[in-house]
Formats: sequence, C-alpha cells, structure tokens
Amino acid sequence: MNGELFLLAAAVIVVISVLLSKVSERFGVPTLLLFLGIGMLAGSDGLGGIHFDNARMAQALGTVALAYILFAGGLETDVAVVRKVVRPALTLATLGVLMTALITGFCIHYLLGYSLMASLLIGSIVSSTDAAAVFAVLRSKNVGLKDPLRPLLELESGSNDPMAVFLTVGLLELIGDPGRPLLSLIPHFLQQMITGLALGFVMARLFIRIINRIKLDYEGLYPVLSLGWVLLTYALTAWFKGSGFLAVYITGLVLGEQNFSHKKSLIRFHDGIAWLMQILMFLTLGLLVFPSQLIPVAGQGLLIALLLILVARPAAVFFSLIPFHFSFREKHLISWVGLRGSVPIVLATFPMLAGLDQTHFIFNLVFFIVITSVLLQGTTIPLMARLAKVDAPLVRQRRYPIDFDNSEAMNLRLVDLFVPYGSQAAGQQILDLGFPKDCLITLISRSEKFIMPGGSTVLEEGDVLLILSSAENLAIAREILEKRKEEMPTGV
Amino acid sequence: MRLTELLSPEVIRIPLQNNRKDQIIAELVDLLYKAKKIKNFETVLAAVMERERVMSTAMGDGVAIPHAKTDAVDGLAAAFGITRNLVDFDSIDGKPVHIVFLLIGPTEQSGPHLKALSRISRLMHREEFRQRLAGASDGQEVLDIIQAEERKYFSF
Repeated sequence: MNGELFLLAAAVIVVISVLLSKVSERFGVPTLLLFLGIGMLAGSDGLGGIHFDNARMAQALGTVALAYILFAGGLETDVAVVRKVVRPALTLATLGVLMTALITGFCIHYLLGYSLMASLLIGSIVSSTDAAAVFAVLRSKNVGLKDPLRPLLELESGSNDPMAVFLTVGLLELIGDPGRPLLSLIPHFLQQMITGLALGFVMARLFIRIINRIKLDYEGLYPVLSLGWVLLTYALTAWFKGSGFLAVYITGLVLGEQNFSHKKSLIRFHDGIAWLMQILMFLTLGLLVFPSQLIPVAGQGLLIALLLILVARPAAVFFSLIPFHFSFREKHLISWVGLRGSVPIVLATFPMLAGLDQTHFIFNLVFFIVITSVLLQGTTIPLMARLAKVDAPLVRQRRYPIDFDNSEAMNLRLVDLFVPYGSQAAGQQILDLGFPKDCLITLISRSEKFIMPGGSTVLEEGDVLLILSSAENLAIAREILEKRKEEMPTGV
Repeated sequence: MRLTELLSPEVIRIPLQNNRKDQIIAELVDLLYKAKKIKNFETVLAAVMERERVMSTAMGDGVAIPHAKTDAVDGLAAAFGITRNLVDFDSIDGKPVHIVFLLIGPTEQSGPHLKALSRISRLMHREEFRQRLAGASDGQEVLDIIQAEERKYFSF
C-alpha cells in the first residue's frame, strides 16, 4: 500500500471510530470493543483487507499508548479520595495479581494439559485488570459506584499493570534460561517497583518546577512539553530498570494533586490524548488479530475466561481484602470489575517477540479471553452494581457555559447568584456596584437571554449572575446584592 | 422551555406541610423523588442546601427559587409549593418567603438551567401574578395560572 493511501485509510478509520463512539454509548457497548471491532473489520479477514502482522510495531505502539493512558488516568485521579484506599488497592495490585496469575495458570495446566510454564505465562499475561478498560467502561456506561469502590478500582487498575508486566517478563526469562532460580526474580521485582515509584515522584516534582518557572512564548508549547515529559519519564525509568508504567502513573497522580500553571488545559489535553491512544491501540490490536484464527481457540478461550472471571479473580479479591473492611457485596462487585483489556493483548505480543513456539496460539487465546471479559463483565457492571446494591448516582464535574482555567493556583469558583427583587444593586452599572476587584461577573442570564456584561451594563431585578470569585470575595458580593434599596416600593 | 412543561400536579403542593426552610426544601425534593423526576433524594437535597449556603435564594416579595445542578437528573426538573405562613429563608435582611419554586438541572447543561432560572425570576417579579398564585387552591389551578402568564410574556 502506498503512503498516501495508508494515511487516508488510517485517518478515515480514526474519524469513523470517534464518530461511532457516540453510537456505542447509546447502546451500552464498551467503546473500546467498538474500536477493536473496527480494527478487525479493516483487517485482512474483514472488509478493509489491510494486512498487518507486525507484532513489534503493535507492541511499541501499545507501550507508548499505555504510558499516556496511565498518565492521564493518574492526572484525573483525586488523590484525596485515593489516599483512603491506597492499602487495599496496592494489595490487590500486587498480591491480587500474583494470585490471579497462579490460580489461572494452575487451572490451565491441570484442565487443559499445557506445560506448567506455558500455563503460568498465559495466567500472568491476563492477570492484571486494565486501566483503559475500567475507565472507559465506567465512563461510557455512566456507572456510579458507592464511595470507596470507584477510587479503589481505578487505583487498582492503574497500578497493577507493572506487576503483570513483571510476571510476564520474568517468566519469559525463566523459560529462556531454565537454569535460573525462581527466587532471583524477587530483587528484580523490587527494583522495578522502587525505581518506578521514586522516578515517578522525582519527575513530577521536576516538571512542576520547570512549568512554573519557564515562561514559554507560545501557549501551545505547554502541552507539547508535557507530551515529551511523559515519554521521558517512561524511557528514563525503563533505562534504570524500573517500571516505566508505574512511574508515569505516579507522575500523573502527583501532578493531579499539585497546583501548577496551565494545569486545567493540560488535564483536558491529556484526556484527549488518552482517548486518541486508546483508539489507536485498539485499532492496531484489532488489525493484528486474524478473526479466522480466533475460532479454533474459542472453546479453550471461553473456558479460561470463565475460570478467570468466576474462580481466579474472586478468589484473589476475597483473599487479598481479608485485612480490610469490605462487605461481601462490595468484594463481589470488585471481583466483577476485573476487566481485562489492552495490557494482556500487548503482553501477549511479548512471547511472539521472544521467539517462543506457539506464540500465535497464545496471542489468539489471550485476545479471546479479553474480548469475553469486556463483553461479559463490561456490559453487566451496572446491573451487578444494582444487584449488589452498591450503585450510586454518578458525580461528574460541574460545567458552565463558561469554563475557566486555574492558571496561577487561585482558589476560585463559579457560582450563580440572583439579583433579588428590590436589591440596591438593580439599576446600577456593574462599575458602580463596589464589587471586589477579583470578583468577576462573567455572564448574565436575563429573561432567557445571555448577556456578556461590561462595566456599563446595568443590572436588573431577577437577573441571574454567573460569578467567578474566591470564597471571601463572594461574601462581599453577596452583601452588596442582598442590600435593599432605601425607598420601599418593589415589584412591577 | 416552558415552566408548565416542567410542572405537573404531582410536583405542586398547596399548602406545604412544613414551615422551616430546610424542611420545605426537603418536602419539595421529596415530591420530585416520588414523581420519579430525580434519581436520588439525598444528593439532590445536599446540592440544593450547598447552593443555599453560598447565598440565600430568597428573592424578596415572598418568593424563593432554591436550585442546584446535579447528576441525579437527566433534564430540568421543577417543583412548586406555597406555605401557609411567611417563612424565614436565611437571607441577610430576612426577606420572608411563602412561594417556593425549586429547580434542578443536570450538571452538563448549564445553559438551559440558567435560562430557566431567569424565566422563573422574571415571572415571579410580577405582583399581580404572585397574588393569583397565592390564591390558587390546587396544582391544576397553579398550572393554569402559570400557563396563562407564560403565554402573555413569552412567545415560546
């Protein structure tokens, strides 16, 4: 395929994917499955006939995409909420993943008769829940969960990928070098985690220092700076044999908690990047798989998926959470939100690149397991939440016709206030009100028309003012608005 | 958006059974909940009370328009009630209230919410309209009065 045609095809696929995400939201199909489906459709078995079997490129793309998705996830996570669930989440992300991998592996070994190492490898590949999948499904289905559950599941899915990566890579090393003792993996693991954690913190601090000091001439360069910073964090950590995924997630978390200039626009930017990355990754993975090769593994894939969903994950969750206070219903739901996603598929390309036998079989098997998990669990999470009585109304960000960027660490909020009938503020120009300097009337709603206020705009009784102000200044504005005119007659 | 499209006899109560600000608001939110206009009683009540803490929605002339945005609704929802006696609504100069119009809007739709608020405040500013409302004896009568007034002053 020549270059221009390839670009055209890629662009059309991306645009169609984004437009169709609207449709998938309505029908409750997890959006990422849709992207995957489009990729498969465009692939060599589908209508598009695009032949793509470059596992190395898919892995590289998957790695980069995952780094940005994790960073954006960390950035949007509310650290204050997360802090309460750190210990159970990290237990799930380490012990939980290990147990899931072991139980799944042994089940595969004994039920399907594969070699122990291959079975454990498959178990490890599918052992982590997927941040992209969990976030996407919770978002697209408008699922609300009772309090500790949502941050717990997010933190778990954001922080358990390094463990799965580590297990997979470790097992591949063991398979490649049979003489190596199992215990030699432990220091390796510690190094991954500690380096990842430390560099994640350091890179976040450094970024805040740089972005607050540097005055770039072009606003547009700030997102570019952050874009480079994420990759730098990942690559540097990987260079020092740490977990790059953990590092970018930690960097995102720390940045999300701190105030720095251009924070809000950066969050929005990375939200968009994360979506783009998810689309690209799932499209690529969809292209990489050959649907015709999935059919032969359907039986075994289904069996392993059910084992994972009904046995391994619940066992790991219930065991890991013993020291913490969670009700049976809550643990049941946590078990059910064990969505697998892109990470296993990306991990499944590792054995391919390691040059092992039967790797296409493993890849197809894992692919099938992931699809089953997302289809079965992803579409039934709201139902399960209701059945387990742990659902809650969804809390989304406040949005106004006007949004504002908290660029210099100010403590501002947007509120709508009335001009009461008979208020002395009515009939006055905004200029003459005596509002504090930092208390800004951004919009007036009057008789269902929006007015952009200026200093000479005259307020009327019953106006709705959209005010941007700090809490202290708001109190002064309130006093001015509530003060009555001296002469009594009010009303029309 | 016509207010008469938001209201129905089941979300109008005359007279209101309570005579304290927080109880009145809870009573109106409960009407919305029982009429299945909102998905959750507590979150809506909390959102309205949070907004009241910033500044009382007592408008003067006996009118209050408590409101909030929340994700517990899919579209605008409104409830209406009239108290037997004048009630203190915590405004700085103690404007007492007996006509209460509650408006709940979804978080992501600020435009319609702000527009509806200004429509309510504009209608309620008319003294003759308020007097007719105060004389209404049931929900249907309130609806008829509001409908006539909306026809008069708004072409849509």
